Amino acid sequence: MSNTTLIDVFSTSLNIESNLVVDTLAYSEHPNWDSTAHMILITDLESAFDVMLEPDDIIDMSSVAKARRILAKHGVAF
Amino acid sequence: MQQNTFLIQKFGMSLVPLSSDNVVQVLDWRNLDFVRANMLNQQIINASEHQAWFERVCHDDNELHFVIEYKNAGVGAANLKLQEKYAESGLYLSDEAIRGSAYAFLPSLLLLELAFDTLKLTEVRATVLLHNTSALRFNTQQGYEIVEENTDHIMMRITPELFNPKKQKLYRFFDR
Repeated sequence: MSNTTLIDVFSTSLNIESNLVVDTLAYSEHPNWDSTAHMILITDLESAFDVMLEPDDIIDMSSVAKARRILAKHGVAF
Repeated sequence: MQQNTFLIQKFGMSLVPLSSDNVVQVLDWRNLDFVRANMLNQQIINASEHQAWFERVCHDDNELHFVIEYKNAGVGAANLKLQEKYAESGLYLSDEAIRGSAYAFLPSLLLLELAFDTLKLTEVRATVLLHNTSALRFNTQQGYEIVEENTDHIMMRITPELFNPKKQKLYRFFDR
């Protein structure tokens, strides 16, 4: 469930196909993932998972794998 | 020497006046491939050229140059060049983590706040290379609008009226 939500949020926020949302997807790997998209992504993830991320978490969230790890730290089960 | 004593900071991000203490690291950042790729002048700059530039801007009251720091570590550079009717802004981030994150917005917000709230400027302009779609989106989010399009670059402008509504919304993101 959480994994599906994570993929949906990434797909919508970055405006990319959901099959592209894999662990290795990272900021430098896709042109749609820029700082504007990152702000939308963070806002949407916080809303979808009902969490408030710390500034260091936000800066560190540079890939799907890292997003999953950071959300898990905030109590989201995958 | 010009007295750029403006120090502006919010949410851990600071604009620190360029000085002999931090000017050397600016050269390293300016020559990074991903920084040069989005500059009008994409040539590698050598140490003597950089020093000559530093000495020139130190004596130019119309140029305010800053090092961007996040939690006291340098992450980029920013400037305002005062013209007769507006100021030109320039900014780049050398830290890839900050550059790819929402925190890339903070130094730009601080620079515009300095321009409009402290210096009481009425318009700031920015030149963006046509291929730099991220910068176009980034600037548009802050309220910039396009003034003119050329073959290889776009001129954008922002006024306090365009900036202030966006500023409040963007700052809310960082207020955590």
